[in-house]
Amino acid sequence: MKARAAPKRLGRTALEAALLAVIGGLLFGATRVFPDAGGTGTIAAVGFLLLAGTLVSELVDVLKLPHLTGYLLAGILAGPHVLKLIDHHSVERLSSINALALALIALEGGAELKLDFVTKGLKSLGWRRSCRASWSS
Amino acid sequence: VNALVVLMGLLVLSYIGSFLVSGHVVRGVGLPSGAEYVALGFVLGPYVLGILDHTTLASFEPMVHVALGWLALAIGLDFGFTEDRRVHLSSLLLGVFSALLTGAATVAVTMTILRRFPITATRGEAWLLAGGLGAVCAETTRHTVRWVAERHGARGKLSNLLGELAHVDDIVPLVGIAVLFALTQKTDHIAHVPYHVPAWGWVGVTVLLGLLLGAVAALLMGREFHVHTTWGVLFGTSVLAVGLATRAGIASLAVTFFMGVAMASVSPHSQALRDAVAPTERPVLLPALLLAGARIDLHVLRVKWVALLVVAAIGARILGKLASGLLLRGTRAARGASSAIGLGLLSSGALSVSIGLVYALRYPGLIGDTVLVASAFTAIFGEFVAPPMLRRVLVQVGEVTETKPEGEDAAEGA
Repeated sequence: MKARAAPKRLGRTALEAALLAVIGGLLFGATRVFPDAGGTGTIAAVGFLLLAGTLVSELVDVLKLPHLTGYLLAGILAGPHVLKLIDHHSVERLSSINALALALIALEGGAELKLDFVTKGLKSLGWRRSCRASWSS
Repeated sequence: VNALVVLMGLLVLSYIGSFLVSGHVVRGVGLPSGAEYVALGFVLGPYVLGILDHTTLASFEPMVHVALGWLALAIGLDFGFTEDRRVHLSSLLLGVFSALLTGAATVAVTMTILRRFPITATRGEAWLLAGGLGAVCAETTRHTVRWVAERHGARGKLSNLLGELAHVDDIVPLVGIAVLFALTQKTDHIAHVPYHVPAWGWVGVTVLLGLLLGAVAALLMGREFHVHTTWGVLFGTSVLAVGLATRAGIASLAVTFFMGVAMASVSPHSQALRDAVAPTERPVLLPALLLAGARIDLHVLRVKWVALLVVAAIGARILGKLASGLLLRGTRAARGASSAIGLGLLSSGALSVSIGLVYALRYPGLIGDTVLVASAFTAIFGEFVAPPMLRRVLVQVGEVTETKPEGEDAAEGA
């Protein structure tokens, strides 16, 4: 079963990579041909980053790399220093979205915290600190 | 006031309003297509209370583009389907013909006025204005037909037919704005395009871009439906489509509409996609309608002959829908219905106001403002006339019994 599933997965990955290349090509063409009037480039940038983030994280899964690596890779490739699909202005305009995303990550992190675990951790930390203080004195 | 704070306030207001209208508190008082949100937006906007000023509205512009694109995507996904079944071909043809007839009547009447009275500077602008008015006056909103059917418990051939007509006629105004936007491509905007593309070529670009991105999204979602990947792909491709369309100066609403159509045709999960996207429509729609209302500048009516033009557009819409009603009466489903059936088709809403808003963003000034004002007035007028007329017709054909709607009985009993 495993032997049959592997090529299928590889085929799927190749298809995803090819489709991402098509979309990247579309955006590349659009950025070269049409001027960015009134921040329209930012909308396309957000769309591409969302899509590329989702797909590249799936692609790096095959190489057993963490999803975060995929997101970073997508950003580096699409950014103003490599393929220039997203220019400096769009990156600056996305800073408010960065703040919102960070706030959401922090919120999610807070919601997933288990109080029992935190209390145990704090107790252990307090115990170690007091031990260290008495040792050094 | 901070734009983000205003946005949060708008969302909270929208949800409170949505709760009141859909719940039992003031059931039957609210307008089914959400025209009250346009009115609320107008009151909050820079021309009345000034809570939303011009700068705030400008900062919301990209979000408005994305929201309207998402609505058009939802319409495209649902195109040709009603309540999980395919629309009959005869209904498709009748719905498209009805919208074309009304749109053409509006263009003809408004062009006659524009030729007689000098409202616009050039003939090209006159066609652009008349075309925009035709686009916002063409359709019948599916929300009102569904609202009337659900509220009065209507079941039968005529309710089904009306529901189908209201579903399929959306294609006419969307293709209409695709053509209008393509014909008015700014020369400096497309100066770097390596090949000469004729105006009609841009219509093809609009349709092809939508179909291509829709097919790509469907392929990326694959055969198995994974929620995480689906939302990422769906939202990513639709935002990208809006971005590419606005950058290329073509109609983003038309691009995402055709994207939705392609996705529904290619993806094996079309039903699951419709089920996933449908609940997001109203939460996106309400803030968009509020922002559309906030952009309404009634001062445009002070420009000589513009008020007459708006009234004439609404009059032409009435004539067009009455003529569509006459055609409808020839069908087996509408046998026994009076001529009021045409007036029952007069409701317009989300799509018309969205087109009005897109027009106002693309053609700021007299043309955009007039089309947006006309779309709002058409929606408000239609909401007051169409639901009672629809109910009357459905009573005539025996699909609704002459009893008080549910909820009212319960309220009186309490």
